[in-house]
Order: sequence, then C-alpha cells, then structure tokens
Amino acid sequence: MKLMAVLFLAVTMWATSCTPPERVAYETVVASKAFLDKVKSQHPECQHSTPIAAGASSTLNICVDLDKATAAKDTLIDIVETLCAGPNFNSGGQCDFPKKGTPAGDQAISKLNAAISAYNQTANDLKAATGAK
Amino acid sequence: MLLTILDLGIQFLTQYLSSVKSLKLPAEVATAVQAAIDALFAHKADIISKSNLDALRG
Repeated sequence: MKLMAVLFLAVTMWATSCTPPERVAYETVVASKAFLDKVKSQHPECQHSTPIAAGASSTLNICVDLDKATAAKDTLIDIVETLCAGPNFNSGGQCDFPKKGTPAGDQAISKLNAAISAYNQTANDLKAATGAK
Repeated sequence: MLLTILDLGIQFLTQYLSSVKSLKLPAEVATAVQAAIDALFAHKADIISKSNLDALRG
C-alpha cells in the first residue's frame, strides 16, 4: 500500500514536471469541477441558502467546504485566464502562456502553483468533512 | 502504442483509487474521485481556451 502511494506520488511529480503548467492547471480545474459536481449532487441540501435548517452541523460543514472549494476552483480559472491572455487566447484560441524560463514564465508558474495548492487545501477539507481519512 | 503522460498518470490514479477504495475512502468520495478521473479522460484533448475554461465555472 505504501509502495503504491510512493509510486503514485513519483509518477505525479514526474508527469507534472514534463507537462506544460497551463495544462496541469487546466486538468486540475477539469478534475475539480467533476469532483465538486458529484459531491454537490450527493448533497442537494447545500443548494438551499440555509443548509443548517436541513439538520446536523456536519451537513453545514460540507456545504461551507463545498462553497470554499468551488470558489478556489473559480479563482484558479481566473488566474489561468489572466496568465493565458494574449492574441490567440483573447480571440477565442489557445492559451498564450508566458515562455518557461523567462521571468514572466517563472512568476506565472509560481502563481499557478499557489492557486493549485489553495484549491487542494479546500478539497482536502471537503474530503475530511465528508468523512474521508 | 505509446502511453501519453496523462494516460500513465490516470492509470496510476485509477489503480491507487481501487486499492484505497475498500480501506478508508467513503463511498461518496470514491464516487466523486472516479468522476474526476472520467472527466480527465473526456477532456484530455481540449484546447485551453477561454470558452472551455468558462464552461468549468460554478
């Protein structure tokens, strides 16, 4: 089991080091959207403005964490759109991400990493609220 | 056929998920993680455009 986790981590780190940062961010957004939509469908009580009326405080925790994770995902989208801005992207085409190795590129990568970490933290809180260890 | 990096990552994620599913992941989290993996497969050829990004909001 531990070996599996170490292997998974190693492959993830290797894959993310070879994949363009904007692609890593996009895949994080895709996966998080699907993950959050699924959790939302399992907790319809969170669509009400006062989820506490639905019952236990654990329900409220899930709804709050769900809102936070959704906001973190949307913030990541804002950052990707800002960093992708350029002639192609602004006319509906592919992302114009700053070139890797340039000061702008390095700064963009650190901003993306910070946004991805923020999302991961909220997703972990949500998983904990739903009972995952 | 050579596996892409994404395929390899997803393959490991799937294997990891199936190994932990029975141990400590609650069913609803496991289902949501599976949905995330399916979405990665479905969107892997997407271009990173404003319309594709905006579709993932909310």
